[in-house]
Amino acid sequence: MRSLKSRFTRGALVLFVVFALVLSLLIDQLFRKTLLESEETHLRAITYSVISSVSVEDDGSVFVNNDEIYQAVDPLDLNAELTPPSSKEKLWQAGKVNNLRPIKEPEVGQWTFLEDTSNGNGLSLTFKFSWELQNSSTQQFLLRVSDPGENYKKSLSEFRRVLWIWLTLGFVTLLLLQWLLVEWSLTPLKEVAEEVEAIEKSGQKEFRKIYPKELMPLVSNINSLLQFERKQKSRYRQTLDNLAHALKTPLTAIKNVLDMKGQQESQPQEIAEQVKRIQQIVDYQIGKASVTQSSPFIRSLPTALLVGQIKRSLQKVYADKNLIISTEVPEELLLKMDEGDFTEMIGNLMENAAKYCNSKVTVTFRNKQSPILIIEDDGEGIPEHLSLTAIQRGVRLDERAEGTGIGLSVAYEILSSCGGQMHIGTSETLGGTKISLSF
Amino acid sequence: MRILIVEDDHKLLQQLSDQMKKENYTVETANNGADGLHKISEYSIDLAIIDLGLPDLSGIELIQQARAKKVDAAILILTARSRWQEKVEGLEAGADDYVAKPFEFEELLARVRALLRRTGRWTTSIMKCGPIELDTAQRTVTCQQELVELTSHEFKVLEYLMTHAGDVISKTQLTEHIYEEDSDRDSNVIEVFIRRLRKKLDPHKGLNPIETIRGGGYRLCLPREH
Repeated sequence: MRSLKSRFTRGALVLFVVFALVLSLLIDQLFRKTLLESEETHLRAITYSVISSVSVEDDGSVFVNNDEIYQAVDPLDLNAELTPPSSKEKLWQAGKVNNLRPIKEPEVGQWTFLEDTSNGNGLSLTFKFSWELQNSSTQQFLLRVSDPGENYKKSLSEFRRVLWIWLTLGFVTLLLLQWLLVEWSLTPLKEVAEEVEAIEKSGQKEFRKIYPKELMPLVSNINSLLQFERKQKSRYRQTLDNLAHALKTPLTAIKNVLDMKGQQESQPQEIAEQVKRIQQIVDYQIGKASVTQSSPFIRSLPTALLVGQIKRSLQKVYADKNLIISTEVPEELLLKMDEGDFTEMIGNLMENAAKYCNSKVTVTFRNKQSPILIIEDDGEGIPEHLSLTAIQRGVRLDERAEGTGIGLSVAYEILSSCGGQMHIGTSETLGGTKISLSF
Repeated sequence: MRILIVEDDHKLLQQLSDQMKKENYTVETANNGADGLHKISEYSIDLAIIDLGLPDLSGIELIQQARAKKVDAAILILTARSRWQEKVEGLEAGADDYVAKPFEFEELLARVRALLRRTGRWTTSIMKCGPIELDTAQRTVTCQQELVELTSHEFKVLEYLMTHAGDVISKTQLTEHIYEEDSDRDSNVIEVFIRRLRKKLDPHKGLNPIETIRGGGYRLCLPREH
C-alpha cells in the first residue's frame, strides 16, 4: 500500500465503522433504558391509581373501586391483579395480566420491574404494600401491573431505524469529508514533488513556495543541500580552472628548458624544480577543493578520538625523534565539522609541530566563548612578523624538514571555510610555535 | 635486508625494485594484494613497501590481514591520496610510515633505512658497535676509523648482524634475509662470508667481533654505541 491517500482512506474507513458500531450500540442502550424508565413510570402511575382505589374491611375483605381507577387510567391500559403475598389467589383483577412474575417477591414498599418483550411477555411491575386495619393489625398485598409492551417495541424499532439512517448518512458524509481532507492535506506534498521535478528538469535552483510548518524543515534542509552541492560543484570547477591555469606556467617553463640548446647540464635540475612546483600546485588545489563547506548534514565528530589517532600516527612516523605528544582533549568534546577536514587540519598542524619541535608537542582544549584547540611545540617557533607569511601557499619558513609548505595554508583554508579562526603565536609554556584554532 | 614491494603499476614496481637492488637490498616483488599477502606472510621480510591503491585486495586490507597473521615486518605505505584521513587509516591498520606519491626515490630510501634501523632499535643511520661503524646511508663500513672494503653480500651480512647486534642469528635467517626467494641458496656460503668478514674486520684477531654459537648461528658481540 504505497499511496498515502489510500492509507488515509482505508484507515478512516475502519475508524468510522468501529466508531459507528460503538456509537450505535451506546445510543441504542441509552434509548432503551430511557424508554424502559418511561414505561416503568407509566406502570407506577397505574399502580398508584389502583392502590388509591383499594379499601380493606376489618374482616380482611378487599374492595377495589374500578370506576375511580378508570377516571385516571385508560381502561385499555389497565392490566392488573391484586393477590396476597406468596399466593396466586386473585383478590382483584382487571384486564389481561401477563405471566411475568418476579422470582423473588419484593419487600414491603419495594418495586420489581421486569421486561421480556423479546419472548412476547411484555412488561410487568410488582409492588408489595401493607394495609393498616382499624384494629391496628396490618395486611400485606402484592399488586402486579402489566403491559403487553407493544408501544415499547414499536418505539424502540422506530428509533433504531432512524438511528441507522442517520448513522449511515453521517458515515458517508464523514468519509467524504475525510477524502477531501486528505486531498487538501496532501496538496503540499504534491507541490513538493512538482518543484523537485522542476529542479530536475527546468533548472530551478531551489524550492520557492511556502510550505506548512511540518514540511518546512525538510524543504529548507533540501534547499541547504542543493545550495551546498551547487557551491561544491562551483568550487570543483574553479579548482580545475585554477589547476589548469597554474600548471600551464611550470609546463611552459619545462618546455622552454627542453627547447633550449647548449644548456644540457642544468636541464635536469630546472625540470626537477618545475616538477616540484607542479606537485605543490596540485597538492594545494586538491587540498583546497576537498574542503567540505559547512553543511547542515555534518555530524558532530569525536575530537579526542581523532586527535588520539593522529598522535599515534605521528609517534610511529617520527619514532626517531622520541616525541612526547601530550593531549588534553575531553572525551565528550564534539565539534561539528567534517571528519576528513578536521583530520586533515589537525594532522597538518600536529605534523608541523612534530617536524619542527625538539621533542615536545601538546594539544590542549580550552572552552572560553567558543571552543579553542591549541597546538604547541618546543621548537624555534615562528617569528610574529612572519605568521601571516606562514599561511601562504608553498611558503616554507624552515627548509630543514621535508614538506611542500602547504600544510599550514590548507589547515587555514579548512578552518576559515568552517567560520573558525587561526592565531599563530609563541607558546608561553614550551617556547615554540603556538597555534590556536577557535571554532 | 629483504624488502617486499607491493605495487600494481608494473613500471613503478620495476623502477623501485631496480633502485632498491642498486642499494644492495634483497628485493621481492608482488603486483597484487593477494600475492603481496602471501609473500609477506611466508617469506622472511624485513620491510614491506605497500601501495594502498591495489586492485584486488586493498593495501589497508593487506596490512590488516598481515598484522592479524602476526607478521612483524616494518611496513611503509605508498599513497597517492595524501590526505591525513588515508594516512591515519593506513597507520592505524598497522603500517609504520607512509610516503605520498609522487615521491623522490631518495626520500623513500631515507624512510626505508629509518624503518630498518628501527627494527634493530637504532636511532641514526650510523650503526656503531665497538670500533665498527656501518653507515647505512653511505653504505660504508669503518673499523677503528679505517675504511673496510666489503662486497655487497658481505655488507648485507654485516648490516643484518649489526641491526640485530647482540641477538643470535641463525644461518637460515641470514640466508633468507640476504637472498631472494627464487635464487640458488647455499648456506655454506654464509660461513664463507662470515670468515671473510672476520678477516677484514679483525685482521689481527684481537677483536673477535662475530661469535659463533654452536647449533645456533652467529652473534655480533661488540657493545652497541647508540
